[in-house]
Amino acid sequence: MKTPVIDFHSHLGRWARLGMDFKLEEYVAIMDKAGIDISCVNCINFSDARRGNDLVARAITEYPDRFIGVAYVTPLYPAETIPELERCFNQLGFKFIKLYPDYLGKPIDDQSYSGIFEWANDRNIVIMSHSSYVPSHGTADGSNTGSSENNFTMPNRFIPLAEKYTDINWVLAHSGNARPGQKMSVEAAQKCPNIFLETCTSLAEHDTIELLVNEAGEDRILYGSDMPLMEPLYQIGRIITADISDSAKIKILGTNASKLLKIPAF
Amino acid sequence: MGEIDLNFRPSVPVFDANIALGRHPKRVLTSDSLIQAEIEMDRAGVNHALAYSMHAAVFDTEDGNAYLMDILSGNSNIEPQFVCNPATDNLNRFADEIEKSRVRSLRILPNTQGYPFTDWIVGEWMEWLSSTSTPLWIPSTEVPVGQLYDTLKKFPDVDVVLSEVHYISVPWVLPMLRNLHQINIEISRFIIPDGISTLIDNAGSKRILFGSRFPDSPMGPQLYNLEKSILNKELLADICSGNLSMLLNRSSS
Repeated sequence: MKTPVIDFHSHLGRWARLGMDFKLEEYVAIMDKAGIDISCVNCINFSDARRGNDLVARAITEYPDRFIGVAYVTPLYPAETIPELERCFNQLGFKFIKLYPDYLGKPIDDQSYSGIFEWANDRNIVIMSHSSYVPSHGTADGSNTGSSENNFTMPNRFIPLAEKYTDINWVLAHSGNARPGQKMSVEAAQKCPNIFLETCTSLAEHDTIELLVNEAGEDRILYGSDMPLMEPLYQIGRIITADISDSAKIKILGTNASKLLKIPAF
Repeated sequence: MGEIDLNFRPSVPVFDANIALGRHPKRVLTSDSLIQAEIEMDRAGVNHALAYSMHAAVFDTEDGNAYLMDILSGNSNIEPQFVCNPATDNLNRFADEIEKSRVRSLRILPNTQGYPFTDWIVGEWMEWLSSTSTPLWIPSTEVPVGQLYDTLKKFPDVDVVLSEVHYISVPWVLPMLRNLHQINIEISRFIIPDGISTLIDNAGSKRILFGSRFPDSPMGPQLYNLEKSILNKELLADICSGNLSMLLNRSSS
């Protein structure tokens, strides 16, 4: 059937060591094959955030109907963050912010982010942050590839932030990643109506989507692929083959994102 | 708007090359019983599965394998796979046991079980595997890459299934597949974009096995990916079941 598909979590920029090496037309072809209408793209590769955001802007220029721009800024260069956010939203037309504290040695509730939060809160802007809590025993077989073990983005760190910055809608990318993090994610969503959970991961157990929907509610879950790290068809397959209602699948695949970003349903 | 198949079912027979069964000795898993595995198989459209014992993998091989056989007693849709520890298990006794139990494949976890994957530890076992055409499953995170390559190079007649290959392993796994033709790949964690066609280009379609890694992962998503990525039904059927059946049928153990 035809249903809107919005990929809330995808990246641009090359990182060939992890297989991220796609030309833009190849990227769009993979979206087409998966049935994705729009990908929300960010580039978190550069500490010179402007460089990555420009790369995103060029992709939007080339495929204006297929990409939504997501601004990346880093608190490692605090003087640059607000001017760059102003540029991304006022000139480039980006729709929300992506943060990746695990790369930066600064947890999500570090004081260095407060300027970004104040700015976004004043403008009612969505912030999506990496969220992960994967203790070494976090998966059933004890394996722990693909995610750091620090707790910089442990989902319960987002609760005080969501309670303080109530005009930000917070999206927890990966929903905490492995089961201990997922449990924290749904607790955070239960406590805070402005917390949403994004689905992509390479670590989740078999009943993860059911857990998120049953515990956090089908209106608060957003499909994401983490493309080009991961195959979007696989991540869509996690939604499609989950033991949830068809209406929940449709919401997760696109209509929840459409509402959250205030873009027209298509 | 995206064309999405909300009620997907696989169109070819499916034989899952990688599930774990039974309780973990140290914590509660989200699925640890035969009935839960059967429900998931039925829901995902998986006809058969190859299962190892979680207890054998993380605690003790003999106790875990026996536990698995008790769990599977009378079940014909799930085939047992034994975990062995070449550093501590007695090969003759083990060989007798797997013949008696009609087991056609083995799995090792050198890292978890604390030994190097070197010929002076595993050599005798590799020769036996070769002589009986018994395939060996090795999770990709369980052996340092150099050790894996060097040891497999010495035993080119042993069929190996490299399982649970995560995207962080992409830089080395594709060259290894091109260089060591005895290696097959189980794709439960190989979920990079266009990953299936990349594997076909590097290893050919006959060396790719569908596996889910249940209960760590669900069974359905990779099947959905395969079905939408591979248009040739014969090739799809090979990857979903035929290649695994052929590999196991070679075994005379």
